[in-house]
Amino acid sequence: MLVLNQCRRAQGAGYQHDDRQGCLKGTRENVLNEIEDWTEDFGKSPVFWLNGLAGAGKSTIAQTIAERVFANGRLGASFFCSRAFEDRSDLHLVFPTLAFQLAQKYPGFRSLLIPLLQSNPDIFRESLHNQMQEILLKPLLSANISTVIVIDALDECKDEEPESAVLLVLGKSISKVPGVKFFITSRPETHISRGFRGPLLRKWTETFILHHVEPRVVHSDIRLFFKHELSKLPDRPQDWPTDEQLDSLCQRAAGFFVYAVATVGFLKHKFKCPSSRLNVITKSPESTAYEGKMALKVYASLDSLYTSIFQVAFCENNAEDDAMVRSVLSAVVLVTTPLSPSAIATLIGFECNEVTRLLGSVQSLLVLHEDIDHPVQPFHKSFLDFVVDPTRCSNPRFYISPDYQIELFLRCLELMDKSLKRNICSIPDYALNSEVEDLQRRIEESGIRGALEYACRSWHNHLIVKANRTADMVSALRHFLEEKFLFWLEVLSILGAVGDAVRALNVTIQWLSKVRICGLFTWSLNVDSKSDSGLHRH
Amino acid sequence: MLTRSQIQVSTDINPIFKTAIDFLRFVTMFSEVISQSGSHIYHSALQLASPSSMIRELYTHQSCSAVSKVVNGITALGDSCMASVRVEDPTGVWSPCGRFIATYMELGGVGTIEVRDVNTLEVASTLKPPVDHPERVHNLAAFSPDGHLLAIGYSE
Repeated sequence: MLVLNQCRRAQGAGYQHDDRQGCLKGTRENVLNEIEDWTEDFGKSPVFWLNGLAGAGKSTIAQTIAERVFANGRLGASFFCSRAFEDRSDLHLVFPTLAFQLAQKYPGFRSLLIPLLQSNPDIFRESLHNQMQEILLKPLLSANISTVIVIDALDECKDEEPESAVLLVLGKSISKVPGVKFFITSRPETHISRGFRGPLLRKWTETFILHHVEPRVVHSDIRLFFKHELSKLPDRPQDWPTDEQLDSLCQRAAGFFVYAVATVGFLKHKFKCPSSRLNVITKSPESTAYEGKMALKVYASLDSLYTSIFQVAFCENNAEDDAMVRSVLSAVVLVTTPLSPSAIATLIGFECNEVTRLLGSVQSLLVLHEDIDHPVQPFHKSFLDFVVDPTRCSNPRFYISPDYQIELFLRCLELMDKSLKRNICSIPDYALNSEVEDLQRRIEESGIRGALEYACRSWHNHLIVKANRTADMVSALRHFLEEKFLFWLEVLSILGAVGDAVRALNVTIQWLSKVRICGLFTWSLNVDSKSDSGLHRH
Repeated sequence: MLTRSQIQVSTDINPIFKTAIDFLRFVTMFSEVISQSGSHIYHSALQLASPSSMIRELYTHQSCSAVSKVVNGITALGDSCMASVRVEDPTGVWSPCGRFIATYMELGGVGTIEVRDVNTLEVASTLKPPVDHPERVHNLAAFSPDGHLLAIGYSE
């Protein structure tokens, strides 16, 4: 097992992690039944694609399917991709993570995988194709395993290829493992649609388009959900909500389950009466400013719900508060690994109770725990999409602009500048990390965990090109490289993350070469003719 | 034709660009050492980086003099567990755990076996010949299988 435990994989990617809820009993019956039938019928295609727009409820369905197939003893592995986590959005960790889970589940698979890893420990760094061949196909085939594998939200994996790399590899291999079924959900993004419809995979794939389900069916499911959830709220008036209110809510949800989830979260507020909060939603304009933009209209009701929730949360704020909420929110939605409120406070330089107060004001849009050291995340990806898109989040009070990326970048560098020092964990001279028995304890005591770890491992993720901020960014970067570079490497060494240093430097070099060109370009636009001619005269 | 602001932009970026590339080279070249030990960033990697590199230029003040204990400099790259010392005879005997090496030295005309910790090259133990047979220690040593004992040979 030791060999297995050392293999690179994404943490918490399986269906049993996170606090995801499955579908409410009695909802989504048709689609769930269809998928369940598919998992049991080996005459059917080996691949099932559940295609749905953001917020249609794909992950909830995937969760339910994973739970049910697990209960039947047929779930081999599951990978819930998430762009909130660096490892769970890393293409190269998908197959290793699945292989790891399969090895835990099937002793036959395990006994084939272990010698393979021993003879080729670097297999995890090889191409997706080799990974698939060596650590999935071969053991699956030799052990003659029949199983179901669930991959949720494939679109959340970072993939620059015009055709999804995972699907391409899957297409080449799927016919070789007749007993294995892949259930995959994703948004209908181009590279994924291309992958499923490509010549390799098309004939092996069954597709279910979630946003094509009859509106009447989704409507009644969402209504059931509202009824069930709202009946659990304390302090609700009698006979509330009325049928008209329910109808109005379902109308607004327009087929998006996430709308219902967000609404319920908003109504759950501890100290406010749910019925007056409901009025805020049902009285807000259903859609604004979307005339003529069909693509955006899909999300109009959702956007208007998010806007209403913000408006309520921000109503007592002054301009200064607004900016603070945006700073705090940016540290929730723009970070590449979720941070806890206490880490956010350290990173952006606020008081911790200030951060919890500000996050509390928009808590229905977040997954927020009592514990200030527990990471906070947006409650749903569609909220993240909303706040960073100026065409959807049209109120500048709530919009998280790219400037906040730069702010986070500068904060990371500032924190590293303040905190990094030589031998931060007081490790004896010359010692190898593996020789320091209480290394973990020393790391905890040194205060690296949380904000500083994030800053060290992720500052480069916030490098964006913006001409008027380049000078600030370059000067912060120079200071960091010239003063703290080796101390930074030391921390990455202790954390076992030296690969991050290579990534960060590569990103930095790319960024510098971009701003070098852009710098010249902006200059040519802003050239001041007077000073120019002044120069000629001398 | 370059004007003032244009020159400024390019001179602003170029040095840091070079630094970043130099540092990337440093990290990839010594990634093995850096991954294994934080302190060997200073003790090994920085010492072995090219003397004309930016990393040496900017961080020499951080490097440690401790490596001067090495008799003839460390020549191996990429692995903090490898180093060389000048000995009379180029054979050494490794301990079974790989942590120590026993070598034959002539100190002040007296043949001596030295056991060194290969991470630091510090002398962990010195085995001198019996006082009445100073000239007869042979370049001959062997660790016991458990690594706790060292046998040396000398002729009577």
